[in-house]
Amino acid sequence: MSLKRKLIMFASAVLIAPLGLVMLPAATANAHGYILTPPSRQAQCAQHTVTCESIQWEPQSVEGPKGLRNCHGNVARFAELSDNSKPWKATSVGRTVNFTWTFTARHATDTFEYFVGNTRVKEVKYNNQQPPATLTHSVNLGAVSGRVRLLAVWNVGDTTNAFYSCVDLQVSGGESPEPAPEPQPEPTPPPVSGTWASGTAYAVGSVVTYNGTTYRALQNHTALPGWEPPSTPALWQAV
Amino acid sequence: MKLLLIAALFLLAGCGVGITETTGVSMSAGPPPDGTFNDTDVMFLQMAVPQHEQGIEMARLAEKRASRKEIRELATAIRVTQEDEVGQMRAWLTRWDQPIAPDLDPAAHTGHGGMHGTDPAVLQALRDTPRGPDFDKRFLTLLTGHQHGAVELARLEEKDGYSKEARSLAGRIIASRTAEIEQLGAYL
Repeated sequence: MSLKRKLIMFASAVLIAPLGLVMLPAATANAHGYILTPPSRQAQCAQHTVTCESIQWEPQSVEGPKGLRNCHGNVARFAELSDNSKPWKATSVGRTVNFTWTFTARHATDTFEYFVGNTRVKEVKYNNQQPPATLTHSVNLGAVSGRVRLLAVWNVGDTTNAFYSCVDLQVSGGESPEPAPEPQPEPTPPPVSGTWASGTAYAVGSVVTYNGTTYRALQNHTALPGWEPPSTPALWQAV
Repeated sequence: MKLLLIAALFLLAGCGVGITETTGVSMSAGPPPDGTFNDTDVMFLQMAVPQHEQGIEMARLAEKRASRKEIRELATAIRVTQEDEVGQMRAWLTRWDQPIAPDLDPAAHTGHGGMHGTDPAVLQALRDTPRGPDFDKRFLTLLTGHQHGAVELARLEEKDGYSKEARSLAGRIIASRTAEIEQLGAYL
Protein backbone atom coordinates (compact mmCIF):
# COMPACT_ATOMS: atom_id res chain seq x y z
CA MET A 1 0.00 0.00 0.00
CA SER A 2 1.32 3.46 -0.83
CA LEU A 3 2.58 5.79 1.81
CA LYS A 4 -0.04 8.36 0.88
CA ARG A 5 -2.85 5.92 1.61
CA LYS A 6 -1.29 4.96 4.88
CA LEU A 7 -0.94 8.62 5.72
CA ILE A 8 -4.63 9.26 5.32
CA MET A 9 -5.58 6.11 7.22
CA PHE A 10 -3.13 6.94 9.96
CA ALA A 11 -4.17 10.54 10.36
CA SER A 12 -7.84 9.62 10.37
CA ALA A 13 -7.33 6.91 12.93
CA VAL A 14 -5.28 9.07 15.24
CA LEU A 15 -7.95 11.74 15.19
CA ILE A 16 -11.22 9.92 14.69
CA ALA A 17 -10.98 7.37 17.46
CA PRO A 18 -11.14 9.95 20.25
CA LEU A 19 -14.22 11.44 18.61
CA GLY A 20 -15.91 8.11 19.21
CA LEU A 21 -16.39 7.16 15.58
CA VAL A 22 -15.54 3.67 14.44
CA MET A 23 -13.80 3.55 11.08
CA LEU A 24 -14.26 0.00 9.88
CA PRO A 25 -11.36 -1.03 7.69
CA ALA A 26 -12.24 -1.58 4.07
CA ALA A 27 -9.03 -3.32 3.05
CA THR A 28 -6.58 -5.81 4.56
CA ALA A 29 -3.69 -3.41 4.89
CA ASN A 30 -1.67 -3.05 7.98
CA ALA A 31 -3.44 -4.37 11.04
CA HIS A 32 -1.30 -7.31 12.11
CA GLY A 33 -0.58 -9.25 15.28
CA TYR A 34 0.77 -12.38 16.94
CA ILE A 35 1.00 -14.12 20.30
CA LEU A 36 3.79 -12.67 22.38
CA THR A 37 3.47 -14.65 25.61
CA PRO A 38 4.04 -17.53 25.91
CA PRO A 39 6.28 -16.87 22.91
CA SER A 40 4.78 -18.11 19.65
CA ARG A 41 7.11 -19.49 16.99
CA GLN A 42 7.22 -16.15 15.20
CA ALA A 43 7.95 -14.38 18.51
CA GLN A 44 10.89 -16.71 19.00
CA CYS A 45 12.12 -15.78 15.52
CA ALA A 46 11.79 -12.06 16.26
CA GLN A 47 13.61 -12.48 19.56
CA HIS A 48 16.33 -14.62 17.96
CA THR A 49 15.65 -17.45 20.36
CA VAL A 50 15.60 -19.54 17.20
CA THR A 51 17.36 -18.70 13.93
CA CYS A 52 14.85 -17.91 11.23
CA GLU A 53 14.69 -16.25 7.86
CA SER A 54 12.37 -13.47 6.75
CA ILE A 55 9.75 -14.13 9.45
CA GLN A 56 12.15 -12.64 12.03
CA TRP A 57 11.55 -9.17 10.57
CA GLU A 58 7.76 -9.31 10.52
CA PRO A 59 6.36 -11.79 13.03
CA GLN A 60 3.08 -9.92 12.87
CA SER A 61 2.46 -10.79 9.21
CA VAL A 62 1.50 -14.47 9.25
CA GLU A 63 -1.68 -13.84 7.33
CA GLY A 64 -3.52 -16.28 5.13
CA PRO A 65 -6.99 -17.37 4.17
CA LYS A 66 -9.28 -18.46 6.97
CA GLY A 67 -9.65 -22.14 7.71
CA LEU A 68 -6.00 -23.18 7.65
CA ARG A 69 -4.50 -25.36 10.36
CA ASN A 70 -0.78 -24.82 9.83
CA CYS A 71 1.62 -22.43 11.54
CA HIS A 72 2.59 -20.31 8.55
CA GLY A 73 -0.77 -19.35 7.08
CA ASN A 74 0.32 -20.72 3.69
CA VAL A 75 2.79 -17.83 3.32
CA ALA A 76 5.63 -19.50 1.42
CA ARG A 77 8.44 -17.38 2.80
CA PHE A 78 7.30 -18.22 6.38
CA ALA A 79 7.11 -21.98 5.78
CA GLU A 80 9.74 -22.70 8.43
CA LEU A 81 7.12 -21.83 11.07
CA SER A 82 5.50 -25.17 10.26
CA ASP A 83 8.79 -27.05 10.51
CA ASN A 84 8.40 -29.04 13.71
CA SER A 85 12.04 -30.12 13.65
CA LYS A 86 13.28 -26.57 14.41
CA PRO A 87 14.36 -26.12 18.05
CA TRP A 88 11.27 -24.19 19.15
CA LYS A 89 11.30 -23.51 22.88
CA ALA A 90 8.29 -24.98 24.69
CA THR A 91 7.10 -22.87 27.61
CA SER A 92 6.26 -24.80 30.79
CA VAL A 93 2.61 -24.29 31.65
CA GLY A 94 -0.28 -25.85 33.50
CA ARG A 95 -3.49 -26.80 31.74
CA THR A 96 -4.86 -23.25 31.84
CA VAL A 97 -2.71 -20.78 29.96
CA ASN A 98 -2.92 -17.02 29.48
CA PHE A 99 -2.10 -16.03 25.90
CA THR A 100 -1.22 -12.37 25.31
CA TRP A 101 -1.34 -10.83 21.85
CA THR A 102 0.61 -7.88 20.51
CA PHE A 103 -0.78 -5.87 17.60
CA THR A 104 0.48 -3.26 15.19
CA ALA A 105 -3.15 -2.31 14.84
CA ARG A 106 -6.37 -4.13 15.67
CA HIS A 107 -8.68 -5.24 12.90
CA ALA A 108 -12.38 -5.56 13.22
CA THR A 109 -12.55 -9.15 14.39
CA ASP A 110 -14.83 -12.05 13.74
CA THR A 111 -13.36 -14.50 16.30
CA PHE A 112 -10.23 -15.76 17.97
CA GLU A 113 -9.88 -19.53 17.99
CA TYR A 114 -7.48 -21.80 19.83
CA PHE A 115 -6.75 -25.35 18.63
CA VAL A 116 -4.88 -28.25 20.19
CA GLY A 117 -4.53 -30.77 17.40
CA ASN A 118 -7.92 -30.98 15.74
CA THR A 119 -9.80 -29.90 18.81
CA ARG A 120 -10.88 -26.33 19.15
CA VAL A 121 -10.44 -25.58 22.85
CA LYS A 122 -11.63 -22.00 22.83
CA GLU A 123 -13.48 -19.52 20.67
CA VAL A 124 -13.93 -15.85 21.53
CA LYS A 125 -16.37 -13.84 19.42
CA TYR A 126 -15.94 -10.15 18.75
CA ASN A 127 -18.88 -9.51 16.40
CA ASN A 128 -16.83 -7.40 13.99
CA GLN A 129 -15.55 -5.13 16.75
CA GLN A 130 -11.92 -4.41 17.46
CA PRO A 131 -10.42 -6.48 20.25
CA PRO A 132 -9.30 -4.43 23.26
CA ALA A 133 -5.93 -2.71 23.21
CA THR A 134 -4.46 -5.21 25.61
CA LEU A 135 -5.64 -8.71 24.89
CA THR A 136 -5.10 -11.78 27.01
CA HIS A 137 -7.21 -14.91 26.72
CA SER A 138 -7.23 -17.58 29.38
CA VAL A 139 -7.45 -20.95 27.63
CA ASN A 140 -8.06 -24.35 29.19
CA LEU A 141 -6.11 -26.80 27.05
CA GLY A 142 -8.14 -29.77 28.16
CA ALA A 143 -6.88 -33.16 29.29
CA VAL A 144 -3.45 -32.96 27.66
CA SER A 145 0.02 -33.24 29.05
CA GLY A 146 3.57 -33.22 27.80
CA ARG A 147 4.63 -31.43 24.65
CA VAL A 148 1.69 -29.69 23.00
CA ARG A 149 1.48 -27.37 20.01
CA LEU A 150 -1.34 -24.87 20.17
CA LEU A 151 -2.54 -23.00 17.10
CA ALA A 152 -4.14 -19.60 17.70
CA VAL A 153 -6.13 -18.04 14.90
CA TRP A 154 -7.22 -14.41 14.71
CA ASN A 155 -10.11 -14.37 12.24
CA VAL A 156 -10.41 -10.89 10.80
CA GLY A 157 -13.92 -9.49 10.46
CA ASP A 158 -13.73 -7.55 7.24
CA THR A 159 -11.63 -9.76 4.98
CA THR A 160 -11.41 -13.45 4.17
CA ASN A 161 -8.10 -13.70 6.03
CA ALA A 162 -6.80 -14.72 9.41
CA PHE A 163 -3.53 -14.45 11.34
CA TYR A 164 -1.89 -17.63 12.60
CA SER A 165 0.33 -18.16 15.68
CA CYS A 166 1.66 -21.52 16.82
CA VAL A 167 2.80 -21.79 20.42
CA ASP A 168 4.84 -24.75 21.72
CA LEU A 169 3.99 -25.72 25.28
CA GLN A 170 5.19 -28.25 27.85
CA VAL A 171 2.09 -29.04 29.84
CA SER A 172 2.38 -30.43 33.35
CA GLY A 173 -0.71 -32.27 34.54
CA GLY A 174 -2.90 -30.25 36.86
CA GLU A 175 -3.60 -26.58 37.24
CA SER A 176 -0.17 -25.25 38.19
CA PRO A 177 0.06 -21.58 37.26
CA GLU A 178 2.59 -20.33 34.71
CA PRO A 179 5.95 -19.87 36.38
CA ALA A 180 6.85 -16.23 36.91
CA PRO A 181 9.73 -15.14 34.68
CA GLU A 182 13.15 -15.09 36.36
CA PRO A 183 13.94 -11.55 37.39
CA GLN A 184 16.88 -10.27 35.37
CA PRO A 185 20.02 -9.90 37.47
CA GLU A 186 20.93 -6.24 37.89
CA PRO A 187 23.96 -5.59 35.74
CA THR A 188 26.52 -3.21 37.20
CA PRO A 189 28.76 -2.64 34.24
CA PRO A 190 32.00 -0.85 35.04
CA PRO A 191 32.80 2.12 32.84
CA VAL A 192 33.89 0.41 29.66
CA SER A 193 36.43 1.68 27.19
CA GLY A 194 37.38 0.50 23.77
CA THR A 195 35.42 0.55 20.57
CA TRP A 196 31.66 0.97 20.75
CA ALA A 197 29.92 -2.36 20.25
CA SER A 198 26.26 -3.15 19.87
CA GLY A 199 24.99 -5.43 22.66
CA THR A 200 27.31 -3.93 25.29
CA ALA A 201 25.75 -2.55 28.45
CA TYR A 202 27.17 0.92 29.10
CA ALA A 203 26.87 2.85 32.33
CA VAL A 204 26.83 6.63 32.50
CA GLY A 205 30.42 7.79 32.18
CA SER A 206 31.62 4.93 29.98
CA VAL A 207 34.05 6.12 27.34
CA VAL A 208 34.22 4.56 23.88
CA THR A 209 35.61 5.35 20.49
CA TYR A 210 33.67 5.13 17.26
CA ASN A 211 35.17 5.92 13.86
CA GLY A 212 38.06 7.71 15.50
CA THR A 213 35.98 9.94 17.78
CA THR A 214 35.78 9.48 21.54
CA TYR A 215 32.40 9.58 23.30
CA ARG A 216 31.14 9.50 26.87
CA ALA A 217 27.82 7.82 27.78
CA LEU A 218 25.10 10.11 29.10
CA GLN A 219 22.59 7.36 29.96
CA ASN A 220 22.79 3.78 31.21
CA HIS A 221 21.81 1.69 28.20
CA THR A 222 22.56 -1.41 26.18
CA ALA A 223 23.96 -0.36 22.81
CA LEU A 224 21.75 -1.29 19.87
CA PRO A 225 22.33 -1.21 16.11
CA GLY A 226 20.89 2.11 14.91
CA TRP A 227 22.06 3.77 18.17
CA GLU A 228 25.66 4.40 17.10
CA PRO A 229 27.27 7.34 18.96
CA PRO A 230 27.28 9.84 16.09
CA SER A 231 23.50 9.41 15.64
CA THR A 232 22.50 9.49 19.32
CA PRO A 233 23.64 12.69 20.96
CA ALA A 234 21.19 11.97 23.80
CA LEU A 235 23.15 8.81 24.66
CA TRP A 236 26.71 9.81 23.70
CA GLN A 237 28.58 13.06 24.06
CA ALA A 238 31.65 13.60 21.91
CA VAL A 239 34.60 14.49 24.13
CA MET B 1 -2.48 18.48 15.86
CA LYS B 2 -5.20 21.09 15.12
CA LEU B 3 -4.39 20.90 11.41
CA LEU B 4 -4.80 17.17 11.54
CA LEU B 5 -8.18 17.49 13.25
CA ILE B 6 -9.47 19.97 10.67
CA ALA B 7 -8.14 17.92 7.81
CA ALA B 8 -9.59 14.72 9.22
CA LEU B 9 -13.00 16.29 9.74
CA PHE B 10 -12.87 17.62 6.20
CA LEU B 11 -12.08 14.13 4.99
CA LEU B 12 -14.99 12.70 6.95
CA ALA B 13 -17.43 15.32 5.74
CA GLY B 14 -16.33 14.81 2.18
CA CYS B 15 -16.60 11.08 1.96
CA GLY B 16 -18.63 9.66 4.83
CA VAL B 17 -17.82 6.47 6.65
CA GLY B 18 -17.88 4.06 3.74
CA ILE B 19 -14.63 4.76 2.00
CA THR B 20 -13.92 3.24 -1.38
CA GLU B 21 -10.52 2.89 -2.91
CA THR B 22 -9.63 5.10 -5.80
CA THR B 23 -6.34 5.48 -7.52
CA GLY B 24 -4.67 8.32 -5.74
CA VAL B 25 -2.00 10.72 -6.82
CA SER B 26 0.98 8.72 -7.98
CA MET B 27 4.03 8.83 -5.76
CA SER B 28 7.22 10.09 -7.31
CA ALA B 29 9.94 7.68 -6.38
CA GLY B 30 12.58 9.02 -8.74
CA PRO B 31 14.85 12.04 -8.43
CA PRO B 32 12.74 15.08 -7.54
CA PRO B 33 12.97 18.47 -9.28
CA ASP B 34 15.18 20.08 -6.64
CA GLY B 35 17.23 16.93 -6.14
CA THR B 36 16.90 16.61 -2.37
CA PHE B 37 13.60 14.96 -1.40
CA ASN B 38 10.41 13.45 -2.78
CA ASP B 39 6.80 12.96 -1.69
CA THR B 40 7.62 9.73 0.11
CA ASP B 41 10.22 11.44 2.24
CA VAL B 42 7.78 14.16 3.26
CA MET B 43 4.97 11.78 4.08
CA PHE B 44 7.28 9.43 5.97
CA LEU B 45 8.44 12.27 8.22
CA GLN B 46 4.93 13.63 8.68
CA MET B 47 3.69 10.22 9.78
CA ALA B 48 6.75 9.35 11.81
CA VAL B 49 6.57 12.44 14.02
CA PRO B 50 3.26 11.50 15.71
CA GLN B 51 4.21 7.83 15.73
CA HIS B 52 7.44 8.70 17.57
CA GLU B 53 5.55 10.94 19.98
CA GLN B 54 3.26 8.09 20.95
CA GLY B 55 6.28 5.92 21.67
CA ILE B 56 7.78 8.72 23.70
CA GLU B 57 4.67 8.96 25.85
CA MET B 58 4.68 5.21 26.41
CA ALA B 59 8.32 5.42 27.46
CA ARG B 60 7.59 8.30 29.86
CA LEU B 61 4.92 6.20 31.56
CA ALA B 62 7.34 3.31 31.90
CA GLU B 63 10.05 5.52 33.36
CA LYS B 64 7.62 6.37 36.16
CA ARG B 65 5.77 3.09 36.63
CA ALA B 66 7.88 0.11 35.56
CA SER B 67 8.99 -1.97 38.51
CA ARG B 68 12.21 -3.26 36.96
CA LYS B 69 15.17 -0.92 36.71
CA GLU B 70 16.35 -2.30 33.39
CA ILE B 71 12.94 -1.59 31.86
CA ARG B 72 12.98 1.99 33.19
CA GLU B 73 16.48 2.47 31.77
CA LEU B 74 15.50 1.07 28.38
CA ALA B 75 12.45 3.36 28.41
CA THR B 76 14.69 6.38 29.09
CA ALA B 77 17.07 5.45 26.29
CA ILE B 78 14.12 5.00 23.92
CA ARG B 79 12.58 8.31 24.95
CA VAL B 80 15.72 10.43 24.59
CA THR B 81 16.74 8.93 21.25
CA GLN B 82 13.23 9.32 19.84
CA GLU B 83 12.96 12.89 21.11
CA ASP B 84 16.12 13.75 19.17
CA GLU B 85 14.78 11.99 16.09
CA VAL B 86 11.56 14.01 16.28
CA GLY B 87 13.64 17.19 16.45
CA GLN B 88 15.58 16.13 13.36
CA MET B 89 12.46 15.24 11.41
CA ARG B 90 10.75 18.53 12.23
CA ALA B 91 13.91 20.40 11.22
CA TRP B 92 14.06 18.63 7.85
CA LEU B 93 10.40 19.32 7.12
CA THR B 94 10.93 22.97 7.99
CA ARG B 95 14.07 23.18 5.84
CA TRP B 96 12.14 21.62 2.97
CA ASP B 97 9.36 24.13 3.52
CA GLN B 98 6.85 21.35 4.23
CA PRO B 99 4.17 21.33 6.93
CA ILE B 100 4.78 19.18 9.99
CA ALA B 101 1.16 18.06 9.85
CA PRO B 102 0.28 15.92 6.85
CA ASP B 103 -1.63 17.56 4.01
CA LEU B 104 -4.66 15.35 3.43
CA ASP B 105 -6.00 15.54 -0.09
CA PRO B 106 -9.76 15.03 0.27
CA ALA B 107 -10.03 14.01 -3.40
CA ALA B 108 -7.87 10.97 -2.86
CA HIS B 109 -10.32 8.92 -0.85
CA THR B 110 -8.67 5.69 0.02
CA GLY B 111 -9.42 2.44 1.77
CA HIS B 112 -8.90 2.47 5.49
CA GLY B 113 -7.38 -0.81 6.45
CA GLY B 114 -5.05 -0.15 9.27
CA MET B 115 -2.50 2.32 10.38
CA HIS B 116 1.08 2.57 11.52
CA GLY B 117 0.42 4.91 14.38
CA THR B 118 -0.70 3.33 17.61
CA ASP B 119 -4.41 3.54 18.23
CA PRO B 120 -5.11 6.10 20.97
CA ALA B 121 -6.96 3.37 22.86
CA VAL B 122 -3.64 1.60 23.28
CA LEU B 123 -2.04 4.64 24.85
CA GLN B 124 -5.07 5.10 27.08
CA ALA B 125 -4.84 1.48 28.23
CA LEU B 126 -1.26 2.11 29.32
CA ARG B 127 -2.12 5.43 30.99
CA ASP B 128 -4.82 3.60 32.94
CA THR B 129 -2.44 0.91 34.21
CA PRO B 130 -1.02 1.82 37.59
CA ARG B 131 2.38 0.86 38.93
CA GLY B 132 2.37 -2.81 39.78
CA PRO B 133 2.86 -6.28 38.35
CA ASP B 134 0.62 -5.65 35.36
CA PHE B 135 2.35 -2.51 34.20
CA ASP B 136 5.68 -4.00 33.14
CA LYS B 137 4.14 -6.74 31.05
CA ARG B 138 1.57 -4.42 29.49
CA PHE B 139 4.24 -1.87 28.58
CA LEU B 140 6.48 -4.54 27.02
CA THR B 141 3.59 -5.98 25.03
CA LEU B 142 2.20 -2.66 23.80
CA LEU B 143 5.57 -1.15 22.92
CA THR B 144 6.47 -4.27 20.93
CA GLY B 145 3.41 -3.82 18.72
CA HIS B 146 4.09 -0.10 18.45
CA GLN B 147 7.70 -0.58 17.35
CA HIS B 148 6.66 -3.16 14.75
CA GLY B 149 4.55 -0.33 13.31
CA ALA B 150 7.56 1.98 13.30
CA VAL B 151 9.55 -0.61 11.35
CA GLU B 152 6.76 -1.00 8.79
CA LEU B 153 6.67 2.75 8.24
CA ALA B 154 10.44 3.01 7.93
CA ARG B 155 10.45 0.15 5.39
CA LEU B 156 8.20 2.16 3.09
CA GLU B 157 10.65 5.07 3.25
CA GLU B 158 13.55 2.75 2.49
CA LYS B 159 11.68 1.45 -0.51
CA ASP B 160 10.52 4.68 -2.14
CA GLY B 161 12.24 7.58 -0.38
CA TYR B 162 14.89 9.71 -2.05
CA SER B 163 16.46 11.94 0.61
CA LYS B 164 19.74 10.56 1.90
CA GLU B 165 19.08 11.85 5.40
CA ALA B 166 15.54 10.46 5.62
CA ARG B 167 16.60 7.10 4.22
CA SER B 168 19.47 6.92 6.65
CA LEU B 169 17.10 7.67 9.53
CA ALA B 170 14.71 4.99 8.26
CA GLY B 171 17.58 2.50 8.28
CA ARG B 172 18.48 3.39 11.84
CA ILE B 173 14.84 3.11 12.89
CA ILE B 174 14.58 -0.37 11.39
CA ALA B 175 17.79 -1.50 13.08
CA SER B 176 17.16 0.02 16.50
CA ARG B 177 13.45 -0.89 16.79
CA THR B 178 14.14 -4.47 15.69
CA ALA B 179 16.80 -4.73 18.39
CA GLU B 180 14.44 -3.11 20.91
CA ILE B 181 11.75 -5.66 20.10
CA GLU B 182 14.23 -8.41 20.85
CA GLN B 183 15.21 -6.73 24.11
CA LEU B 184 11.56 -6.21 25.13
CA GLY B 185 10.84 -9.87 24.43
CA ALA B 186 13.74 -10.93 26.61
CA TYR B 187 12.21 -9.02 29.53
CA LEU B 188 8.81 -10.63 29.17
